[in-house]
Amino acid sequence: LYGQAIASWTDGTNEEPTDQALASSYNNFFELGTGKSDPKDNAHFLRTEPWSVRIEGEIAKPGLYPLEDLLAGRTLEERIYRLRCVETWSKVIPWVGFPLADLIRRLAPTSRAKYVLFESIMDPDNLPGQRRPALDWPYQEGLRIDEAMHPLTLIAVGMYGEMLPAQNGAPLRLVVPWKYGFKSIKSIARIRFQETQPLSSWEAKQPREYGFYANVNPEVRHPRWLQATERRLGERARIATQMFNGYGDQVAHLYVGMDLSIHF
Amino acid sequence: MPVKAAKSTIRLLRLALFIGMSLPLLGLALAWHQDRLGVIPEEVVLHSLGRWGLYALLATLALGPLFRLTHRLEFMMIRRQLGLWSFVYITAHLLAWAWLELHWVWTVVWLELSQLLHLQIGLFSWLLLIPLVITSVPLLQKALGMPRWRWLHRLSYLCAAGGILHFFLLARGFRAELWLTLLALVLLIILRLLDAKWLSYKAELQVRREQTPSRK
Repeated sequence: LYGQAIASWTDGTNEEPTDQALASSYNNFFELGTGKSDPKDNAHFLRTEPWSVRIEGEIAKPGLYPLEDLLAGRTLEERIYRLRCVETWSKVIPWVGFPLADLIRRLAPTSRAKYVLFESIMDPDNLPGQRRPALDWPYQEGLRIDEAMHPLTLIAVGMYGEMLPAQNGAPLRLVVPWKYGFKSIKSIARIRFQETQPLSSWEAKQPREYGFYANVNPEVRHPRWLQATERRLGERARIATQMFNGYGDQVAHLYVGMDLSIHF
Repeated sequence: MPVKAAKSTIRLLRLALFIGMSLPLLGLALAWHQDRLGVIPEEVVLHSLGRWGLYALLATLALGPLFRLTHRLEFMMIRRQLGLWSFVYITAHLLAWAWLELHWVWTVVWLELSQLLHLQIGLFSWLLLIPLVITSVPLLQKALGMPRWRWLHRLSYLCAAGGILHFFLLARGFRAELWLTLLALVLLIILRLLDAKWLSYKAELQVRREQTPSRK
């Protein structure tokens, strides 16, 4: 992958990965359409070469970074993570990528970098979904800096040992396994380090339904459905949803003292 | 005056309706069997059944106004069957929810029912349909008496309203079909009210005519 070896990560789940064809044919990627099969059907509209990411804000080394530079000298790891969508379906995906923390350290953020804003590609000429006002384009997401620096937080460039398909967020995306899938922004074009909490796209559109944190939480319902159970794609029966998507022992400390029904 | 419909025409119409309304159900079963319903077939089945149930209910409500407009008795002769079909689809929708979605896990069924308003409204609307189904038996219809039967069966408007609200509460974003069903129901209610007004006006005329001594 990108001419690099892939090391496998030992702390992963031992759950069976979702069938690869399923994982890349049932997606939410509104830039390519709002239906579940639209992203795959419209995959060819996403131009990924060349790709660079504008990195700016409270860091020592802002600039426009070509994808190749971001990957140079990095060891890619394969990590099998559960992915839980806010719509109550889930997958298990073997991602290939590197910890976001490694990138952040290299960029040397200042002490005022309290949050990280991520922005997806903006290309309404090519992306059919961006010609409709489903969301306020471009898509934006954000993390608190400690969430971004957490060792579980990944920048993925591949899955199932191959390059990311367009519908899964090629050429690089965020993966935050203890949060609902919409936090794991796809096709990143801009990263900004800032002092104020970013407003993510779903939060801006429906603040009653989607919050900034969006941690997987079976106790806190969505206004239109419950989050207590989920359907693993490819399996028939529903299974119980786990707090922080099962990563609680690694991430719960980030939210100590917070009322998660308010900061949902 | 209503045009009298031939018995054989009615029989044919009823058969056609029976076949027509069983097709979506058979189609879904076949598509399920052939695994043609996509990644989450349970959801497709659930949503199609609900849709067909609501459409059949609205179509049933439209038969009265169609009869009054055209004076074709055929519309009234298929109303009972179409109404029962809406019950079949809505019941299947409810079963699909408890079975395909929740696998009869009663704790989850109860959890969802106790917390989600759209489910409560949906279940309530389905319950309202039950007395209508029971009194669709001709014998019971007679026993009840036509005025009371008519009054009871006006509940079907409430059921349709409940179904549409149920749909509104769970839909994501703008859905043209939602607004169309709402528009259809509003139109049907307006027609119903106009018709009631017109009938009472005619009845009043009749009474006046009878009370006025005829000039000779």
